[in-house]
Amino acid sequence: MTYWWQQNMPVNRYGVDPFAHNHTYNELYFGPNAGWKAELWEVTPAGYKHFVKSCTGNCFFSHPGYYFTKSLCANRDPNGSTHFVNDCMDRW
Amino acid sequence: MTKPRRRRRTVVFAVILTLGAVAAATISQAGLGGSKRVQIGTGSVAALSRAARATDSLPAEVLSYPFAGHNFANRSGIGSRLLKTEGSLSLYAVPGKAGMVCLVEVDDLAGTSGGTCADRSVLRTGSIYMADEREDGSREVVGLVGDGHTFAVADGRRVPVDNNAFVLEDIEGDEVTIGSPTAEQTVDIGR
Repeated sequence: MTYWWQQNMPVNRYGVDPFAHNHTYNELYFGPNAGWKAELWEVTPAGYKHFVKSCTGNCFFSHPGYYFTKSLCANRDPNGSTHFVNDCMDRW
Repeated sequence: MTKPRRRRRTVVFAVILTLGAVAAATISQAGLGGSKRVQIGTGSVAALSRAARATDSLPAEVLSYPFAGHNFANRSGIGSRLLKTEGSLSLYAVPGKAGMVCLVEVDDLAGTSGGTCADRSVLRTGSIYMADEREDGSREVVGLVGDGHTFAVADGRRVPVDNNAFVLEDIEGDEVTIGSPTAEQTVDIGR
């Protein structure tokens, strides 16, 4: 099961799924005309970052569920233009 | 009578020059997507046009992810091409929806996969890339570039572009330079 957990996120804000799980999949979706910088990452309740992936436009990262983590995603557009992250999703 | 005419001609000439300069700047900015960034090629990806091989198919697991349905032109990844293998890492290009093109990476040893899709126009002024931050803070950067690009360099490491793709390992810093024999572009991979 894949869970959507964030929608319509403004530029340079990050979204977080506050419930920690042994995540295996994260996805960020701007939309069909994507081209802005984006980032997906996970953080353990103790604050350690894992599976940090930055990319261009819509992106996903899947991995073994090694860590008990919260999922985060961000629009990292350096221009500060107005566009939104339509969806952030995760799976565990 | 002659002097005012000359003055009028000079003013008209100056106005024409100014309007011409404004028009040229507007056309140039529109063509460049509103930026002064260097362009290389047209954003076409020759690797996607070559004849298909058995190894071009994406792993079933990647096709099962919601990402495939959201982004690929065809849910089953028709048209994908294997661009490059390096150790346990395989890179694929995939036609995307609505003019997008996608880069997918699969690492058999690590049991990981990732993908990114962006509008094809991104390839004129840069790369569709993914940067993976390692536990030691260094990054592995994989990128898809348009036709005409021949190299990628970061942190003093230079690698060739092969089948529209490059892999840069153990990179520190926030920039990758990609280029052709005659031009270079800078890709900001920082946060």
